[in-house]
Amino acid sequence: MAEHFRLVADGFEVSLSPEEVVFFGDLLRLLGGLGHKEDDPGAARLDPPVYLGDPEADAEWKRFARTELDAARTADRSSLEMVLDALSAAHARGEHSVVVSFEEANAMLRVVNEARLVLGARWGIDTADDYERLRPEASEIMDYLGWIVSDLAITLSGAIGS
Amino acid sequence: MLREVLMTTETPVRDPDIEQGERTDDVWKVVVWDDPVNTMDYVVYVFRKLFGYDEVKATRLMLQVHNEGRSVVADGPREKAEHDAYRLHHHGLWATIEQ
Repeated sequence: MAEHFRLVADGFEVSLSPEEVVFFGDLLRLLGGLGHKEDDPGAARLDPPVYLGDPEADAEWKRFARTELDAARTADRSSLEMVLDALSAAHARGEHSVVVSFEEANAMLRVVNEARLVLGARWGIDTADDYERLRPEASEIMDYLGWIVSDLAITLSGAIGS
Repeated sequence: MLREVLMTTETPVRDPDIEQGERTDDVWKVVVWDDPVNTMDYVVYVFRKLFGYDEVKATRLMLQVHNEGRSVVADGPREKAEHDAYRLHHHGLWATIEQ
């Protein structure tokens, strides 16, 4: 499989195929339509309780944190959208990669992980055994996104040092 | 006050292993819970990035989450614990706080 991510002198190099750019655009549309519906396990997964057994304290926390979290996630998704636009422009020039900042790479990591969490929750993954029950297409998507998340995280770890 | 804390990007790292002797009733623990979707590499990276832990400590905490279902990854005053939980939620990890 081709190398997708690499630390370079002036930042973080991202290489995605045109098909992958389209797929990540689909993920952005999925996340953009989430909202806070309580009957959507995907939305609920991104909005877990902080105070177990204390609904009043949890509601108070959410009153403040939810707005901030929504804004932070929107900023992450906008950042990824710009990276995808830059990749599309690169593809049009016959190139296959762009160099982004570490902030943009971290935003990309959070968004891809977020999408995997949402899909996993909607597909009923509550335990490791539930992966065995996924239909093949869903299993392939979870594996691919998991690989992208781990590859991004490991590559970014190189910027932290040991 | 919480809003001000949430807007702060950096907080001092407090090591729960080292500073246990300073615990008081005002110290809140930040607990990360196991889930079957976040990858091990990702969780280690998040612990290193958010708390400044080295790879060995971040991996040990990740394995504790994976094997025991939960791990205390940080502690401190309530406002700091809430801020840590916020940052962990922003990264897709399920964190709770408790005394």
